[in-house]
Amino acid sequence: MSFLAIQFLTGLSGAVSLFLMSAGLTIIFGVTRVVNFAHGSLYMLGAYIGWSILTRLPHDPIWFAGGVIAAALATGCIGAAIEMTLLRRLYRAPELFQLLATFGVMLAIQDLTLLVWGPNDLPLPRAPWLRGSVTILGEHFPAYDLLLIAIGPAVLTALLLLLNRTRFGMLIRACTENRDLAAALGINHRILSTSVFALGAGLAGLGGALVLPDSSANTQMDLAVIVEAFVVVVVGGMGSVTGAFLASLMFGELQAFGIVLIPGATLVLVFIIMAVVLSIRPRGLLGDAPVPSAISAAGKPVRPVSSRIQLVGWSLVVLAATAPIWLPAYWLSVLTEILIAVLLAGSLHLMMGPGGMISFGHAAWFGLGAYSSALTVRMLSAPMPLALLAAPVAAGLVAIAFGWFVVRLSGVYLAMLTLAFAQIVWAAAAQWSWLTGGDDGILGVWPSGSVPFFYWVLSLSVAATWLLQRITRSPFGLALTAARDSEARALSIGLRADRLRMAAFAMSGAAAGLAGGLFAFSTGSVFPTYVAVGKSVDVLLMVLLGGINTVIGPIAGAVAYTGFYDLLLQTTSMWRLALGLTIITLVLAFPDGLAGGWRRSRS
Amino acid sequence: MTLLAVRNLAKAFGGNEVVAGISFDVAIGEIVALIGPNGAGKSTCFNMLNGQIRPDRGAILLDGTDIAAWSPDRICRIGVGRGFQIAATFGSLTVRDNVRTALIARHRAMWRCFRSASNMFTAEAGALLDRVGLSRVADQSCSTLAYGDLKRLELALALSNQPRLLLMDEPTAGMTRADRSAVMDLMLALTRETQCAVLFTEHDTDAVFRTADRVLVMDKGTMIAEGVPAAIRSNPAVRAAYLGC
Repeated sequence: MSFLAIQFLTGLSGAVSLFLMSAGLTIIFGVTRVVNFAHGSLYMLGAYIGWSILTRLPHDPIWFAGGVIAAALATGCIGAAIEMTLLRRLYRAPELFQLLATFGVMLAIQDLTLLVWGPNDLPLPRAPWLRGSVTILGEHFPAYDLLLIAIGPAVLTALLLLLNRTRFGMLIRACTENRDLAAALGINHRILSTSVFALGAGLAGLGGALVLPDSSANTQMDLAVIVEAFVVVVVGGMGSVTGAFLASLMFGELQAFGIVLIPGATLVLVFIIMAVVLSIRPRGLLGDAPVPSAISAAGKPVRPVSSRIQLVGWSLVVLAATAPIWLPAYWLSVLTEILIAVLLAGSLHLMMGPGGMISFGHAAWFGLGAYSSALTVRMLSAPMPLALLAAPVAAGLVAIAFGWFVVRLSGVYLAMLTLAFAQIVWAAAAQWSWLTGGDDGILGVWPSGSVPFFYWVLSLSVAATWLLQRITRSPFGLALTAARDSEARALSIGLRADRLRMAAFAMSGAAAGLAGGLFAFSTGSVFPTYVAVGKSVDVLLMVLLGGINTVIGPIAGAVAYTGFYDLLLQTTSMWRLALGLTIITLVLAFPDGLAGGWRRSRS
Repeated sequence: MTLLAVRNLAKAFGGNEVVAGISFDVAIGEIVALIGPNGAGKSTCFNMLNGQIRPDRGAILLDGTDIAAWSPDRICRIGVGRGFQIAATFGSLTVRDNVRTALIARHRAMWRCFRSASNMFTAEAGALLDRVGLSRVADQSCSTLAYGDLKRLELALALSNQPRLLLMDEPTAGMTRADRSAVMDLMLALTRETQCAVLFTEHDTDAVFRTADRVLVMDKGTMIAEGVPAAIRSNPAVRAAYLGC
């Protein structure tokens, strides 16, 4: 009994920083419609700034409170600066580009944090009052955690009062409800957006500073917490603060009890619950805000490829076929990587462009393919061709099963469910070491010879990419695009939009699986990092950099991104900062992608 | 000959019965207008006929088959075309590709993945666009069309399946006077050619009394009158519903 009570309280205290994070994220989303990837970075900055302030202050509760509030205010100012210099210019751009920009900010902040605070974890020396505990039902429970438990509802109450009882809150609710109407009534959206962004950032900073006594400031906390916060916001319903509170409590408790009951499966459990909630309530527990359209860039057709560009493309393929003769081994491996990236980006494009479904978790299919190939080799001692066949088949079959859930959702919710699924696959890869080798991965998946393998990659990538483009222009592709543009109209001319989407989803998964299988052989190994969020974002970046509404876009994006990425890795240790700033610059300069920008500059 | 027989159709939203058990018939080749003040339940009724909303009770018999719980795509395939109150077209495609897509659906070709769609059903699509008068803009993206042309495109999409029954929800809403009569005349001519029955809602009473063979009047979820235009025009219950006196 007492054990249950303590576990329950632990869950409550764990939920608080998650709630502070998610509340900020959800308010920002409500008003600006920006899914802020950099929110985890603001949380991390809150922790680091908090550390810098608190270690210089006397160790008593009043100074601690003052230091935490100062950290939150500082983070709020950083948030306002990000909004004013970057996001403000992007409100008219497609939602995905705002997401990309905030991802760029996240990368840049990672390196800047390293630069300022160094790579080591920074724990806060615990003052005596922080070490105290109270006895509850015969068990000790940290007094600080009790304080945290009180802060959660206090912040919720303050936020609800702010939203429901003040003029500022009324403006926020009006903008969340209907931005255009609010603007038409004379509400200054700029000032409101900046202040809301600052408020959200401040909440994240507060959350970051408050976890300091229990853990430490470290450079991994941004990505770890952002994915959880996304899940909380989506499960709670985007734009709903109370929903975020309920969902954080749910996940706090789930983690507290899950660790005891089924160790090693908590991550899987979290995401399964998310999948269940979303398939019953597609807008989350308390969400009723309209789901923003997935791709605002829709409304333009996917451009066909001119014959001149086709000629250039095929010449490049022929040139690549001669590469083993004249290209040094290192560059041959880069070329292999690029070819695989082209296929991967092409597979995501089918889903996102004509299909209108954004995936934040495309690495799931890539990873499933890679692991399927590696396991076929490892367990069945299968030859490479068979293992390469296993990759798309396995990924495609899983995609069909998962697609049944996915096609019921739309927009950001769909994207979040794909992210959740990728995290399940990632958790399985990391935790089921009897099958996957855990973090050590599976090694020794080598092809028989490097030059023959290059031709395998070249022919399979080119053939599959060509096939994907063919599908885009086929009757199926046209019907898929039609279902994206207007589901009601598609249904009323006799097209089953959900089945079309599911088929596209499966094809996309299978193609990404093939890319994963090829990648496993090209590196000779598979690791859980193949399924990590970063990989999913890489693919997303390739497609978006290239441009959604061009067939050639994903190819250009994959080549540019992979080449640039390798170049950065070789030339600078601050590659995240460089990549982040590049992404931000590109998004600002080419809101319709590289291929789109090229076309625009010619016309 | 009865084509569509609606019996005791009802739908409530959150305890508010929007359509409260209505019954009516549409004969083959007949043009029937469904009118009524705002909030009478016309659009809900349409959405049930088309399968967008599932009725709480009642039957929708098309040629004797009850289609009440069918999905919109299945209802389309047995020969019901639909136009929306706010024109719904495929905004990213050209006008020609809009119609081409409808023809691909009609010929059940949407699962063909490996051939190019760009030369499929071109002649058939051209003929349809000719008939609704959109040939001149066939290669434009339909997001650039004027609203009257969008409504024409909707008509072409609805007709591409050679329907036996056409459901048009306010086919002339948001159009100029000249466009209105042009589109109404076009709809009439096309349906007379093919013996297709039409059920349409409309606020423009001139258009209703000029084109409909028969008029159904709804108010507050129930059918308050039914008859030829002349009879409806002088019906006191209808006047009361519209003018509130």
